[in-house]
Amino acid sequence: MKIAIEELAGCSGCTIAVLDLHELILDVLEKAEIVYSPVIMDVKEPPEGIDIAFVTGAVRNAENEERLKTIRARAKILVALGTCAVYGGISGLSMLSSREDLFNYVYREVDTVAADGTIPSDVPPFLYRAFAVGDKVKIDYFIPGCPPKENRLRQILPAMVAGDHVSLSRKSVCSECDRTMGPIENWTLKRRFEGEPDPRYCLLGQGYLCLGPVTFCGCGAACPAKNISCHGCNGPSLDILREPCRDIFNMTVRRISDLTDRPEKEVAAELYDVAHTMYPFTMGSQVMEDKEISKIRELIKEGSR
Amino acid sequence: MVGPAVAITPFRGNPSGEMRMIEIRVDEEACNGCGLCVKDCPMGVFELKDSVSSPVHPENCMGCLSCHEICPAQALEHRGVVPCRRMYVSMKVCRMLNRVI
Repeated sequence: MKIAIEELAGCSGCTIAVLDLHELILDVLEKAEIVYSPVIMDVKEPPEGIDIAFVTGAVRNAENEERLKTIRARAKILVALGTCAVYGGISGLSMLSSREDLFNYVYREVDTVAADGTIPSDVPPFLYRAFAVGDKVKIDYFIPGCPPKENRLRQILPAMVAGDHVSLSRKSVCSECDRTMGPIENWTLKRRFEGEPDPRYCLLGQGYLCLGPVTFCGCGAACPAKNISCHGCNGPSLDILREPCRDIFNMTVRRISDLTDRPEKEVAAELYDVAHTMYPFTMGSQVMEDKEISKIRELIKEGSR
Repeated sequence: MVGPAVAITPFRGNPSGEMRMIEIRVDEEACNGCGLCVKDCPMGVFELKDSVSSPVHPENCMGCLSCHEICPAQALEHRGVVPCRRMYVSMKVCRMLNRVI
């Protein structure tokens, strides 16, 4: 069994998450061999005949797209690993700026630019937008998470290498959260730095913008357990993915409105910095953008003006 | 509130003569006790017991699935509901996943 891990527009954290299997990786490596992974070994190109290829990162430039197509052609099973691959992730936020602004920021306005301002000629051009890998090629399995958490991968990877299927929870982050709903009095929306949340009670009920209800599980509600509200790094929950009339924004607004007995429009108007609070991990996904009620299109338009 | 007779009519006509009810299950591990199902149910099916949702009047359920939709923890499961809402499943997502989710 040959395994490969390809890197596109991402931070390589997902590959490190695979290494976070710790001793368990030895069991995996008894049955499988890692033949290609730019982060952990020095092989320049993926070989032919890969059994399982993991692809991490979004597709943002021409090189990413070419690499994705190559790994698809050479792998029997292609797995989107991590939120960038599955939904565009943080790389998708780049669409809040124009391509020219991005290029200037990365290649012209840095200290390391050549004295005469020459730009290297081998810089791959940006595509007109960011893509999740599923928007470009056929993907066999999706494992979201930024990065996918160790406990989840411990269940998935050995089974995948053995050719087994595992049955895992497909609910939201709230289903893994130990908090209960506290009293809701004088509800006002709070920024994360305001006050200190009561660790016993639901963060949303206390006024903190927690994306737990609209986010896929698999992290053990790690952030709420540390008194930090969920920022949705696992991507949308299945009900949101499934149904065109549901979106991260409108379902969050609906739940706040129902909890607080305030009109939805009033709640929606109070939400701040929607791009970074609601869609930080899903902006690059065409599945999420194509929803009629999605705010992503207008955010991209505003940002890239 | 809607009168219960109207809502339950489709489920009459069971050969045993009993009225078939929708079965509601609560995943007590998942439930956070937020009470949104209690608040949203137009038929008063749910009550909170020790901060966990409990379907105390399942016989009133008309299968609108409002509770299912609003539950932040996806802790509710209904059996015996005619899933007309699922007609609106996004086929694009299902094709990408090779299955209806």
